[in-house]
Amino acid sequence: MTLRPPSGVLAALIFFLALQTASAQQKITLRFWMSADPALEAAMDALLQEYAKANPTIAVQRDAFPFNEYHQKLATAFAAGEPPDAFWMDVRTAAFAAQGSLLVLERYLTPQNKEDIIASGLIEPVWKGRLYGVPMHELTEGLFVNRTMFEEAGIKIPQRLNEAWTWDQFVEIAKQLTKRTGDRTDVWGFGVLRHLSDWSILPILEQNNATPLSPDLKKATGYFNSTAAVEAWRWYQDLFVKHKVISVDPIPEGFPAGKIAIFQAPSTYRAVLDKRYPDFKYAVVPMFKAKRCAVTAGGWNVSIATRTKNPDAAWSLVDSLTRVQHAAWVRTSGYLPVRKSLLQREPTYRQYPWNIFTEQLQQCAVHRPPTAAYNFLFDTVLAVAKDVAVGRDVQKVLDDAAVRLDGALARGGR
Amino acid sequence: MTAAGFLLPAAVGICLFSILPIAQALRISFFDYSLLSPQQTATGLENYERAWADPVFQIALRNTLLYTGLLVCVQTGAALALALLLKQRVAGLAFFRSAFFVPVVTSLVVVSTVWKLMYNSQGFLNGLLSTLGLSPQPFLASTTQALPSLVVMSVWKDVGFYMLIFLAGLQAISVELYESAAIDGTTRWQSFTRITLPLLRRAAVFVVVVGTISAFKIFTPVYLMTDGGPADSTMVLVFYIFRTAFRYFEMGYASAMSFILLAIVLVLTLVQFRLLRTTVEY
Repeated sequence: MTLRPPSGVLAALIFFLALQTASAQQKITLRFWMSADPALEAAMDALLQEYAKANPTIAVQRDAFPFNEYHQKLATAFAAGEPPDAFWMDVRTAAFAAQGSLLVLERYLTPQNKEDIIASGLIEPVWKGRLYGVPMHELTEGLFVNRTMFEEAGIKIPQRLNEAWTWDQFVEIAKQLTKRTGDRTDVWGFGVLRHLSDWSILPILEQNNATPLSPDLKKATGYFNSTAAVEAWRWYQDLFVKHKVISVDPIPEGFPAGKIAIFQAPSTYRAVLDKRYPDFKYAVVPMFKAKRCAVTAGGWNVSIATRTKNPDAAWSLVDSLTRVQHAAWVRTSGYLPVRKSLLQREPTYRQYPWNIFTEQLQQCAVHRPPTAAYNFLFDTVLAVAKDVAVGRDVQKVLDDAAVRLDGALARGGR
Repeated sequence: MTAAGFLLPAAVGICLFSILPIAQALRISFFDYSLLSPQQTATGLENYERAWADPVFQIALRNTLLYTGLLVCVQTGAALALALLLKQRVAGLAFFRSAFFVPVVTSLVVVSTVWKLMYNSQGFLNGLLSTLGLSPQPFLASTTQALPSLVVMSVWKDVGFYMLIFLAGLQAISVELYESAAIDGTTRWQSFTRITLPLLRRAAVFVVVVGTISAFKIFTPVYLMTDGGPADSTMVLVFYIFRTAFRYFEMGYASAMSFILLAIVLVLTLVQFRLLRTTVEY
């Protein structure tokens, strides 16, 4: 005997399956990648939850990778033909855009939307005049000083951009705060979070009216090793070799541990100090200056892969993260706003200490060259900084590096 | 048929995961190919010509040869000396054998990180020098000391493994040979040079060949400790290939350099086999 289901049950089952299939067909899944950081990932997940509520037909699968391997993972995903739909991208935009990997976003970004973004935020995501990303936020640097050491030494702490120390004033203060016992240094006058990197050194060059590359980003010789650049690098070298106010080797957690008096660090360092060292007394002062003020600015943008099958859905995600939820993102992530409307609306950013960063961002921002050869430039500056810090001949080091950079730039950053 | 059946899974695995990727890499080495783009442009021998004209490649090749030469000499000598010492009947033999072998089973990433801290300007080694009244040394910050510093770390890491190989070789030499030689009135030095060394030749071939191949592939310590600097003094081939492929995305050029490295290692290995081959049997 054969058991047969009632025809009504069969019809309901077929209807249910058809409904499921239709629903699965309509639901879009976007892959989204970002640089790993527990605090930022939590902040991003909150944004994605809001996005999911507003867009029930789109599911977002988020992945995060440590910064050191992030771009490599991304490159490998592109090579495998399976890039994420949308992802964080930084000054390396040019390298990816030059290979046709990124979607041009001009057709999505309305004029009002673009107009709301501060000028500094539209440097890194642009390559050859086309926009390949929308900034999530801005990041810049300042000097964090140990308030106790300054009070004990009777040194006034500047609180406005126009009170920034000159190079000479900075060196004298750093020397005054450096403490030694014989050959051993107990307190270094100066330290840098992004030690020896282009991010930290670029302002020193720009403060002396030097630039690493020509304006068209095609040549290094005559710029990377110009007289102004050599002067700036020599001043930087003196900090290590002549004045001995900074250690060649980085000192992990040296600033909150009281082993460093003045610490050059990004604006997000405030959140780190407040969370990990709530009792530590510090203050934020503007970056030192020379012929002019200069401080590096930049940050993460969100780009879309050319190969995405859902460009419109990917854009809706980008727009939500960068515009709709921008205020929530900067509040929870600790980054600076990149939108004029938020900067005008929120008085906090005009008050100390945020005013230091926002004033610098608007008056002193300089950017890492958005060239397709950026990784080569990054490695070159790091190697040069290491050589300069240990006392090698600045002119020779810069001349050799400029020749190599010329080669990389001529190959189109490949 | 049965043998072929048993061999098939391994043969398929080798073809899929070794031979095919190598063949693909060889093909890519004749193309201009970026990791970020599927587009590939045939360039003939251009990548190989570029390598020979590339000053950084030449520096990397020179550094790799220097590192390999230094490492293999020091490592082989130290491993043999330790094996001879530990062959003696001394108290705590098992402890010393284990102690020398512990670094071998320790992760190279951990070892590199710890040694980087030890080489730091305010690290353990400079503290020791200071205690002894000696001036501090720059170690990894010096163009002349950085590569030897890596050699010292690598010897410390791997000498235990090669010591075991020599120890096994020493234990395979019959005691009767030494007894006969002693009756003939040979000195200890003569026993060492006429009996021990010739009969250790096969172990030595293994140590030198494996040590050379391993030294040519040095990457992790450079990546973690020096980044190829200062002033390219620790720039070695595999690190340069990695950087070219995964930092600058130039897969074609990186593949070409990989095949040049393969050719060099192959030739050196054949030369070593030829020079160290032995027919000595007692």
